[in-house]
Amino acid sequence: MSAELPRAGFVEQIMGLPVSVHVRGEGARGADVAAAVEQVFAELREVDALFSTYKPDSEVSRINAGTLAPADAGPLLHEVFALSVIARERTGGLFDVNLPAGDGRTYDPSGLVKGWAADRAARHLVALDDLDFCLNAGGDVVMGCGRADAEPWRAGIEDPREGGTLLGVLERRDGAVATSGTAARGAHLVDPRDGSLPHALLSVTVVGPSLTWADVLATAAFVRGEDAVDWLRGQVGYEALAVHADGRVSRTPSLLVHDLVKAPPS
Amino acid sequence: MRRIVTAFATTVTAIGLPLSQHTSTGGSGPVQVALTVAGATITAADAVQVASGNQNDHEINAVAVPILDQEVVAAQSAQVDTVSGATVTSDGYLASLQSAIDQAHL
Repeated sequence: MSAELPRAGFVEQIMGLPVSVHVRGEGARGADVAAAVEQVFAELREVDALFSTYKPDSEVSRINAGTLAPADAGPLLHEVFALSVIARERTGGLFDVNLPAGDGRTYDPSGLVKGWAADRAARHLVALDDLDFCLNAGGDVVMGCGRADAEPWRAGIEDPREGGTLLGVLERRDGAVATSGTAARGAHLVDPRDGSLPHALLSVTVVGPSLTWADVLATAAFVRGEDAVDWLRGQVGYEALAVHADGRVSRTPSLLVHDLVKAPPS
Repeated sequence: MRRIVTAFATTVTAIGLPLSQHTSTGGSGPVQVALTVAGATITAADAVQVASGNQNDHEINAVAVPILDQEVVAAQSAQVDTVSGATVTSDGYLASLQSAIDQAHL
């Protein structure tokens, strides 16, 4: 990090998640940046109002309550419907927004919406000339560098075995990093095929061009379990690192992880 | 430069403890953290005021304060811009490395 380069940070709690935006470059503290960041936050709040399963008047809640026909939902819901189908196909059913619930299934696109919404909102930051940005939504990251000579952003990967410590650092000028696991909120990821709780891995981090897909693939790989990294090799453009329940760390061969706090036994 | 930062008035339940091992709902309140910042680097962090609504809060804070310090030091030593980890909720934010990084740049 360059100490003299102007940099600004913004944080808001949206969708029950901390959303942080950092901007680097001359003008990082200017009004244009503040306005763009506010657009990001406003858009995420709008998405939350539509998709929250906690808000009874959201479109998702009304669909689940039977008071809104999916066909009558708005365009953003339809975009997510389409992505949900692709996500299920692309992951062979390891990712599915229709989750087992009691005797039936409930429609909960939360696992897709976070990454998709952050990816989408980041376009307001991409539009900033000669500025670099890094958006972190609850541990999922999308980055970009608008400065031609920008040094890469350094994204730490949290070690699920020891809270508050880092496993290593990824350097990227753009793209996305998503991590799925159970460390931060206990067991919340279920296998959509049978409702069981995956236990082979502690976390999976996926790196690639799109946060929407990095997030979906990280969740799917976590559900996949032991051979998650091998499975992810079939996803062109994406790299992965998995921390296994027994402490082993595996990763795709091309993934460069710098400055490891603790060298993974690979 | 020493800055007093009042962090989010959020639940302090999860600070320093993995949520998977700590499921009770504790007290909440603002937490003031004094950050010593040199350039873009946090060189020290001290909690100067913590929530103190009930006995449970005191127990939580006794755990929270030293662990927050360690985390800030970890963030500094790694010199990272951001942190990717399993979904961090608003409740767990104060204890996160990302929170420490954010505070240095707000």
